[in-house]
Amino acid sequence: MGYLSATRPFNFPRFADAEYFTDVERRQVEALFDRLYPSDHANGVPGATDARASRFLSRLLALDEEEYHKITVWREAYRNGLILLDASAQVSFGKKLTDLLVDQIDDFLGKLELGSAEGLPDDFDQRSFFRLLQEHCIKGCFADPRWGGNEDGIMWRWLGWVQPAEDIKFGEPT
Amino acid sequence: MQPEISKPDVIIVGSGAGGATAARILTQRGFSVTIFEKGPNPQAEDFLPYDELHFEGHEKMTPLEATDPNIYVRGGRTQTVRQWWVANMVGGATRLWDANFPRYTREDMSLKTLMGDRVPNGASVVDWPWTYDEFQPFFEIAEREWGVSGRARQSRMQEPYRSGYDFPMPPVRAHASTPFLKDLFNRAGWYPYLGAKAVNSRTYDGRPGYAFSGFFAGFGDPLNDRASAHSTMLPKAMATGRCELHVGRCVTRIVQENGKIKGVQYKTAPDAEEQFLGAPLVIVSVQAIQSARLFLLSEIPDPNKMIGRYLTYHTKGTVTARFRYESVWDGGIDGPYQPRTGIGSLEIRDLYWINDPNTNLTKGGKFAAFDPYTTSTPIEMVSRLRKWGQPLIDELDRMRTQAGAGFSFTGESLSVYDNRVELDPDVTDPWGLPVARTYYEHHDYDLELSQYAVRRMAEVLADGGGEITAQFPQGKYNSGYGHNHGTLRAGRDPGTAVLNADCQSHEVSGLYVLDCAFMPTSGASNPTLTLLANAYRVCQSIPKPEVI
Repeated sequence: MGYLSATRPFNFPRFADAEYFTDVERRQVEALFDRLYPSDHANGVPGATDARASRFLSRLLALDEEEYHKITVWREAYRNGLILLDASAQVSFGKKLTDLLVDQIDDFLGKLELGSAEGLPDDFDQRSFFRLLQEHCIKGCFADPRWGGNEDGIMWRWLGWVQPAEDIKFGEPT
Repeated sequence: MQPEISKPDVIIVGSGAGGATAARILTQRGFSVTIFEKGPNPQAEDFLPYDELHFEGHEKMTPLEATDPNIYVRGGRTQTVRQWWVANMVGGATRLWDANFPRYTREDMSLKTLMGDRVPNGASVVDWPWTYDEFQPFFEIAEREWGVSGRARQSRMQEPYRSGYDFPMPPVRAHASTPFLKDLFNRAGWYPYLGAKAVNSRTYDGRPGYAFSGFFAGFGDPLNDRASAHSTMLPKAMATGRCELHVGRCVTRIVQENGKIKGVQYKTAPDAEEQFLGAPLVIVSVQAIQSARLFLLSEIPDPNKMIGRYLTYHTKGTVTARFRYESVWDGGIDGPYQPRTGIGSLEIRDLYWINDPNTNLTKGGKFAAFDPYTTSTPIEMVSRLRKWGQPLIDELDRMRTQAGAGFSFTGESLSVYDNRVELDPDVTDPWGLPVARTYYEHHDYDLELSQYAVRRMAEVLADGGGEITAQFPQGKYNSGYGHNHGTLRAGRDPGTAVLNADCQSHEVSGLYVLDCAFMPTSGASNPTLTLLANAYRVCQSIPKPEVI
């Protein structure tokens, strides 16, 4: 009932650098986001990794639930879900999630989207988890940079959000 | 500390479009008015900084689905519905709306007469108790007082205007696609025009011209360049000294005795005691679904089982196309930024009444043009594509380089008795009151209409060189929509209507409803201007209570 007592009803959270994910979780999410929204540097296209979308999510989950009641639900979903996905990757590919090749991640995400990834418990809703990843990947790419993703507005610059679209110049590939 | 409430001539429940307008008119006429608003009173600057994730992603503007939903019943199964069209704050949904301001027309108000013997079975088609001609002067007042930009006589398909009439402001700057699309449609014999908007095209009524910020529908307006009840009607009502606005007060019950209004019961907090405030007049305007819910909660006499019945939305449909040989609309020399959202866009009313020997369809609807690339903020725009990986990137790259156009259909939705609002037996809102439970299945006519309109639009676009990228006709089931009407139908016969022709309850004298609940049929345009015109019509003739 916060909105009734608040004199300023739409308070923004106190933005900070705190993160929710462990290093492993952060790398797992980054690997998945990188394929949900891939980059194409040769053609000036930035992706989720350039936008630091996984950092966005890690910071979002560290915020007070007063910002949004689903934050606590999401925390649990990721903490449990990433462990399960890692186990599923072992069953399908004999590797950890973070060691998968890009084609394998694409294959894995495609199956998750359809609910047909292997080695996952029956009561784990694969499709919902896929949609959650997709939702946060897009938010991490296109939310205001103040939330910790969309670094330097890179995705807005490419897309042309309230400015003309531009191709992004990246350095030489290493 | 809650301020003390004086004894008013009229209590208004809800401070949105209808309630604020009633306050404006009645204070002008010398009534003392008390408004009860259950939400807070945000000021324009509270909507800064612009932020899609905060305001829209985190449901800051609308009731939380988790705690304050509607319940929709589909084939015996229930689902929770986010009320994205409701804003519980001073000004209501006018704080986040798209501000499209077409008038309802003769076709909307005299449907039975015009359909004649072609009324489909299972639909309750009636004429409104008034004609377009009777509404016309009130449209003009509402357009002036709310600040509507537009231009009369751009097209023969527009609403009929009184000779010599024009809007108080010219239209907002047209979207860059306008010349191209007008030419395309004209070749097909269709005559689009720039639609009327409650958006300033220049300084008007102390509010600035529209700034093309990129944030529009669904977001608050930090500049007041889009009209809202908060920036137009309420300041004028308050300035009379005869209006009290009380926020954080939820009306839980309309109180009547032997068919005469007594006042309302309300709470100042969910766990607070109920209090009573008496008044000889009560006006309810909290959107049609919620007004029906309040009538049901209040056990207003309903001898003919009409309360909550004949809920209507609109029949929707969407077509999008890409014009691969046109480069993305860039706004030309007027600047690099386009008008975002649907504003500055074309309206197409060539299928408002269908004269086609190949179909039995009669009443149709209108299209509003939008640019799929810029119509919404980026998270929403990208999410809506429902793609990922390389197909998503490819689609976005086409959108940012090639010209696109989208058309949203708003059509008649025939009134059906079983489409209705009830009280949910299980779920309560944050105030402890049963939430609205809705039942809605579109009449077959609606589905046929949408398919027809979508197909005709797709043909015209394809003939004009467009590659159709999506076609979505209306589905049978409808869990809710921002245009909600009916539920407390107005009509002269107490046997078939809840409200009389003055929008006063047939059963409880002194109880009025001024949202879209009165609408006897759905019409086929964005309904708020017609709601406002009706409020002017009703409030100019409500008798002033005797001093008691």
